Amino acid sequence: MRAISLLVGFLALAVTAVAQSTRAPEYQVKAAFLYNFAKFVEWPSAALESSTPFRICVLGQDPFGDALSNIVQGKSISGHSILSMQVQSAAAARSCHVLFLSQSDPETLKQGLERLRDLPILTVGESADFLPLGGMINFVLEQDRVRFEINLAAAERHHLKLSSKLLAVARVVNVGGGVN
Amino acid sequence: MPMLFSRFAAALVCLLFSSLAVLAQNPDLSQASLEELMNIQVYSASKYLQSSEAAPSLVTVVTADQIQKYGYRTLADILRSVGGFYVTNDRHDSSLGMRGFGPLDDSNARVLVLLDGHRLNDPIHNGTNIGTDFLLDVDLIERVEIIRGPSSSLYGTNAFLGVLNIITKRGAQLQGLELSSEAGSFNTYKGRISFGQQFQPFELLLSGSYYTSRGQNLFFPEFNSPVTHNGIAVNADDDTSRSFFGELAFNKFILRAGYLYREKGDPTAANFTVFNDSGNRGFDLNRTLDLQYQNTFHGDWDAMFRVYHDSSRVDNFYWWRETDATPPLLSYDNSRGAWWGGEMKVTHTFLLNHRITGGMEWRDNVREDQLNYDIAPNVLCNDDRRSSWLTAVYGQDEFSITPKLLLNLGARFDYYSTVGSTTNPRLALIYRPQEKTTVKILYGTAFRAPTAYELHYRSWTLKGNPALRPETIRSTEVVVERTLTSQLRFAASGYLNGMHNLIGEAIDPVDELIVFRNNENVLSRGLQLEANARWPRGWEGRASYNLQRTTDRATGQVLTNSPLHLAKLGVIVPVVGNKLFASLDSWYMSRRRTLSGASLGGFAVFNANLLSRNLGRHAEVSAGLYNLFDKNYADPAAEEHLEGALQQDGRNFRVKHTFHF
Repeated sequence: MRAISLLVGFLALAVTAVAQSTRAPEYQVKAAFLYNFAKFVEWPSAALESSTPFRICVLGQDPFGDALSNIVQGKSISGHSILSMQVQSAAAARSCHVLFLSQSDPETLKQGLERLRDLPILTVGESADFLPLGGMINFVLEQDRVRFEINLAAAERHHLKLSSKLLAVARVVNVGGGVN
Repeated sequence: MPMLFSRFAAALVCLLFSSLAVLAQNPDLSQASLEELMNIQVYSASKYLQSSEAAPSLVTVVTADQIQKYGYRTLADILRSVGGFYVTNDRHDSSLGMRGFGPLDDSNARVLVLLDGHRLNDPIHNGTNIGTDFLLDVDLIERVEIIRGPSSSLYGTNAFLGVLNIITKRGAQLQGLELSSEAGSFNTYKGRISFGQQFQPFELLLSGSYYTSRGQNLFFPEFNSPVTHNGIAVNADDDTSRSFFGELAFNKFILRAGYLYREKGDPTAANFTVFNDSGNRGFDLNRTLDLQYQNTFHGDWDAMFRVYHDSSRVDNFYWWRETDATPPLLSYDNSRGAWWGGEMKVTHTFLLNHRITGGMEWRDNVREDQLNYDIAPNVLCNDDRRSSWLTAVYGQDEFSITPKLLLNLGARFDYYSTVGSTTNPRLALIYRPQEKTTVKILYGTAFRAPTAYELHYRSWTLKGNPALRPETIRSTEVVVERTLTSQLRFAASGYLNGMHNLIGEAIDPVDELIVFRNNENVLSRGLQLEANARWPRGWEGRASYNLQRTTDRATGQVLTNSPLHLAKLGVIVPVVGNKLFASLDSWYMSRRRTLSGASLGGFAVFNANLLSRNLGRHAEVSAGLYNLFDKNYADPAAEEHLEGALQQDGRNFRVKHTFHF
């Protein structure tokens, strides 16, 4: 009897696992995106000295839990080891290469983005006013799938080169508001 | 019970196998391409993450940044600043009190301390040292997560009043060599050398610390007689420790090793020893080795495995006299523990809204030896050698009934070779009516199994009791958390704790020895208010207040060392941009009763610290004044002391310099 219930349990679990194989928690997927962005963006050489680690930072409340550090652990970006870290202020984010700004009120976002203006930092956010405030890449959810919008003017201002592969799958937005 | 156990185990094996099946089928999420990522259907996991809002408890986090800015020197310093906690020091150990329950001699056995998830409480005394005798240098702490309330449903024994999870820094955060030196009052010096680096695919952290303090010449009015040096203990308060911590990460494996050796003189003449004799001293040795594997597999399967081996050793030397006229005799007290064990845990989301965790744990206390004898003349009192084991299974379901309502249900079954089985449930209903407000209704039970010391210790005055049962707590709590703006957060909590069969001391009428019995029942009621603020440009503040009444059920009397009011206040002010920070940290405690029934007055203590960062090339300087206004205050003393209360440190300072290469 027990053997049967075990078998049923095992099968049920296995089936659930297979059925769910194309599903994942939102922030695990977003963490994987952050790592992927880093692969398709070119930083000015001055911003990435040879012995320093590549820093992916989260400013404000950290929605990732362990997801981000799990993704980047043991990985590298053009020979640089990756470090994921939480930073408390825009000032502390100056040495970051990728900066995720979690959902917070527009005023805090605006101040943060203004302080990092012109620095070679890829800023990534997830709120409606992120790009108009000067952010570079914004996550949006469409039918439970993660999509992202890119503000090219902001990328140029931060001296970052975005690969065509990244632009091909993104929605490119003019800061004026229109969609290409 | 074995039937139930095997079924639990089978279910777990099932879970593990299916997680491995998933691993075999699906690539790592981090290997997925942009296109693959765009095709993954996501669901909001924010409610599943143990962010403080979804946690079935009122949680406080203290970060490395705050530890630096407030100038905390030990884990005890950190906890003094946390709402609901207070620390009692007897010039040998620091004992933690929480929410009005502050037993004076329990070696912190009612709080579980985890180092990166690894249990530090030992099986002989069940305790963890939190002062200068803590295993880890506070400079290596990344953050401390303070989880209030019983958590035996996940962690088993010791998760009685709360859990402290200490997260260490990683090698990549250091990126090189760090040297730190500090000096303070009472001839106190400390040095640390740390190295951290990432060598793909390895990550390494190595750190060693040395601490020494000559201590003070202290006056104890209870010994104010010409026979006992007019109550002045000279050169008997010294404190020396050395510690090592190493961490090597490779892919998803992390190997951690810790070592601490500490020697402390006892100026208080505890255990009725000869006063003003620097030969009264204690030695502690702790070692830990832990290998952990943690991974998130595609399809959202989290798995964690852990194996470890720990050991502890305590040596105490006591000089005592039969009468004032006889020459002093030397007694020796020793305990040695060694234990190893393992744990595995799997978490997965089923049917979109059931986040299910299953786990099992076993621990083999291969050595729980206690020895007590007089050295000269040589008379053996106790030579007790034993071992014990335990095993446990647990499960938890975080059920998102609606996006606004989360039900967290968990239970754990423990089996001890010494005291049999115990099952502990927890139930939490977490309701978020709006994004900025969270209401939590929490219920749970927890236990603490009697220790080898309480079961089998023996000295000339005290004996263990092999018939002891686990002590239990039943807790009900309501928490309301509210975020006013992104900078300002409030929390309020009301709690009711019933503690049963607490292990306390009694006199055995047969031989008149002190004996341990399950003889105390305690009722604790209280209210906690907390506010946390963080403004741009580095301003920070926190305040907390506890009103609590903790009474003995038999007498209705408030317990010893239980303040009615407890308040904390802390502020960090950026003085010069991100280069210079000033902080003020203070705590107030209302009057407490001592064992003799006397009342110790309430007091407030203020600490101030200045921290200068980004000086030149990666240098950091910190200067702190502790007990700024030189407040004269005392903590209640435990049974083994002749003193009713022990005077605490007056104004003292520390300067610290850290250099990063």
